Amino acid sequence: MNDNANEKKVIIVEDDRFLGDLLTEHLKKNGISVEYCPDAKVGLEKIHQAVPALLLLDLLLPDMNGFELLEKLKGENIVPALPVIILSNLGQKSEIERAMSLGARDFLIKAHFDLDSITEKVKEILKG
Amino acid sequence: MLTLTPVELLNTTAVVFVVAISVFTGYTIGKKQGAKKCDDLQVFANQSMGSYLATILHHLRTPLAGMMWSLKEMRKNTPEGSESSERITKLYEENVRLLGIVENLLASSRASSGRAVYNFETTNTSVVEQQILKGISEMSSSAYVKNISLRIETLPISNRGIRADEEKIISVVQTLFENAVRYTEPGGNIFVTTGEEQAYFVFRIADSGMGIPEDEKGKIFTQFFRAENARRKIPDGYGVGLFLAKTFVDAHNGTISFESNKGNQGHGTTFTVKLPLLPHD
Repeated sequence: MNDNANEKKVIIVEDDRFLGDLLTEHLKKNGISVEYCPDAKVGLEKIHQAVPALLLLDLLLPDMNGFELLEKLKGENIVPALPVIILSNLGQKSEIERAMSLGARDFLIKAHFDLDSITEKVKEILKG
Repeated sequence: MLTLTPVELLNTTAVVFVVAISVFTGYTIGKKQGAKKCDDLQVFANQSMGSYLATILHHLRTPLAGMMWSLKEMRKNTPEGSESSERITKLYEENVRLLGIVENLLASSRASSGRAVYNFETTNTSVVEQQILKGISEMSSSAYVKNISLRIETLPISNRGIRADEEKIISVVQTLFENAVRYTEPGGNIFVTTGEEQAYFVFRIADSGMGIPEDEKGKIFTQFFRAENARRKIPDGYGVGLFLAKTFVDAHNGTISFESNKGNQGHGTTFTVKLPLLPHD
């Protein structure tokens, strides 16, 4: 695993291709290296190959959902060292609490944010 | 004859479709599960409808969020003042409005299935009053634009303790004030009062608007209900505001009531919200 090469890499796990492409393109325009994964299984494989600097994770995903992926990563002690921002349209208090208890750094409801504000959050975490 | 723009037709059709599917699904699941008593079936259907509606609404949020992101970027990259820029701005605003509808319906579905989340804090009446007055001030331009005069009167308060979810109270104020503006003709007036009455913090919003028909007063707080004269005046609406307002006030162990068609000119509506004060120390 080459940590230096992936130091600033962000992995996006998002099954909605339209949203995933928009976010990937916008982050790349802002100089951030991004790898897009359409589901949690692919995301987990990529993380196992090389732990990124940040994971942007949707929750409602086919087969393995975002919570299950987060549980796996926590069980393997990859999280909380790997910062995770949940990007979901769920937003009930119980869902937010569950994500935070599994080690997520932040919980953003997609419909309440735009690409610029999400990018700012990503940059903040990558700086730290 | 009522005519709708394509966007209004889409809005209305989407809401009707979602509600109809949810009701049908709720009752079908209820019968399959063997819910025998009418009240059990009603509760089960409400909860099922609430959950099903919430699931659909979550799924609507995703493409709407994507459209909003995309339109915002397009707006940035289009010369300001051009015809394209104006159309993109209009599309963006309609998208934001659709998202607002989804958010309100989501809040309504959570409320109807008992899953609304509250953040109660112990505060005092002075703080609550200030928040209400701030909210009214922020919305006041909507009245002035319609040439509706706005009068606010704050009666003395003792600064007693009160338990409240300030965000929900502001939401109630917003609904009542927006309705007052919406259903009052230009040249009319709105009168807001705040104060304490015995063991309650009370605020009232009175308008000189079209009032509520007598035979529909009993249904005014029902989810998705809109009075006939309201639907005729403003077809674009889906009847969750007062339902949510009552749900939130009930959660505070308060009361919300109204009088209508009793003003000087024979019409107008006054909504009164009472929130219980904490006992003296």
